[in-house]
Amino acid sequence: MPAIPLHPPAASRTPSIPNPLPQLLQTPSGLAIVEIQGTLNSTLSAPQMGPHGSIPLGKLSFPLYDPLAAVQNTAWQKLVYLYVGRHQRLTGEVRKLGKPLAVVRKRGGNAGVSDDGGEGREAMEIVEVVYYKVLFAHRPEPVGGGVEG
Amino acid sequence: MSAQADEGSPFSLLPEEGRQHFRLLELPPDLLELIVSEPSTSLHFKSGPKSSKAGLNSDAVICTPNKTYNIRQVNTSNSVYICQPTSHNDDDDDENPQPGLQAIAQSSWTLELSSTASPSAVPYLKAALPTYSSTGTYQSNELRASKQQIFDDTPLSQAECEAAWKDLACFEVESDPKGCFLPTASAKVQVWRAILESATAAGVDFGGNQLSLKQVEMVIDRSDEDWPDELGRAMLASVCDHEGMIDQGRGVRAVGLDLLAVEGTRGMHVSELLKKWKDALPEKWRAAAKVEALPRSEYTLSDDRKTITLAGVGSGVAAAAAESKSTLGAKRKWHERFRESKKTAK
Repeated sequence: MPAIPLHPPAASRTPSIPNPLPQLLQTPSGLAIVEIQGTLNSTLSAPQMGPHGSIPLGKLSFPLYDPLAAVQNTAWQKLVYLYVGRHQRLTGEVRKLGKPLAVVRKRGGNAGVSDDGGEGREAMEIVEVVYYKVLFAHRPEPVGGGVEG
Repeated sequence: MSAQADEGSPFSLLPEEGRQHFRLLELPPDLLELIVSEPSTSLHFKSGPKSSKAGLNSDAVICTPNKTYNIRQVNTSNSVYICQPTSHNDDDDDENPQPGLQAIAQSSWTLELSSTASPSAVPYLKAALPTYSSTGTYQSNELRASKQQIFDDTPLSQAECEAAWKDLACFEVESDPKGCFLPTASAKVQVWRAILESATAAGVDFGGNQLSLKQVEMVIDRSDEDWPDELGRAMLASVCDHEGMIDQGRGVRAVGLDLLAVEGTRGMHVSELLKKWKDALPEKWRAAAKVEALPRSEYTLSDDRKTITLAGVGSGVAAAAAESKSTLGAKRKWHERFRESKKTAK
């Protein structure tokens, strides 16, 4: 079986879109990892989807994060909210990964087209190395719209 | 007070059809260091040929040029989303797009990496290569794979493959026949004896200062050789260090092991081995010819240390255990025998 090359992250990767995450969680390509215990079930039908085919879930918020505060202030990492729909909220935290994760995909994106000369050899690439994740490990709790919890 | 649900950045999910396919790979510290500080280092996913033979791993591995990591797939019941920033949010107006986060992929498993215990490409090369025997006979080689193709099919790094290739004195022939071959132990002994005789006759001093492979190659007389040049060179390389200098330790060990492989598969007298061994060595190396110079895993001693047997082949104890392992219903007996042999082998 031929050996499949694994290419390193592109040195020049930069996100073209502003990144809403706190600085610590921002990576050169913009990729980040969010982990939820259990599964997110979508019961949305097609008309409810967003104009670009995406399924809106809710809002991700870092209530204690202050971009102007000193970097050593890490207390904000302990509280992250993921509002799901208008009535549920998951509580989570930022966790540093024990071992950083390489996010790997087939080269040539998903089109299945190899950009590897004329050989058509399969290749993989590391798109990003991620050092942190946002982990939601608690059961969702109900939140009322407009009511302070 | 605005509804709490209005705070934060929009978070959306791409429907399954639109999602990308990523794998998550844990990076041990040394591999992380390599990727971050030496990104031009080549990395490869490799896997070996499907085989049920002992010692052959058919799972996938990741290789740097000189190190191999085993891959283990670890599942999680959690939903792990890989997200990226997006400016397309359904409840924005296009004049005020709010940056949001979108899950573009989900992965329910992570690949964990671990180092191989004592990696050796020797069993893979032995399984993959046809032999060249002392009668000058090439085993049939329909595949005609090149050396690099064989390495590509071996789940170990390039450096580990090269080391085994060198140790086994494998060689590649361009034509008639074309391909890569593994010399049998008796072929190696024969070639070594001829090289030694020719070099000694030409005045090469094996005990002296740094002696290089090239120096020896230059003086040996090839006119009587029945074997390909490539094998002669491979045989010399197998007794050299990584700088191409003849190494007494490697030479003594290689010759001893080859002699044991030729005559000791069913056991031979230690005294007989030592005699033949010394005969096959340059004078200044002979004092080093001792059983202790052989790797411990390659032989067993019995009969009050008077008999030595090549490990893992023929009627050796390890071989008997391997044979009965494949017999259905003999499982309990095999465990007992193996336990016994573990106690007696020194």
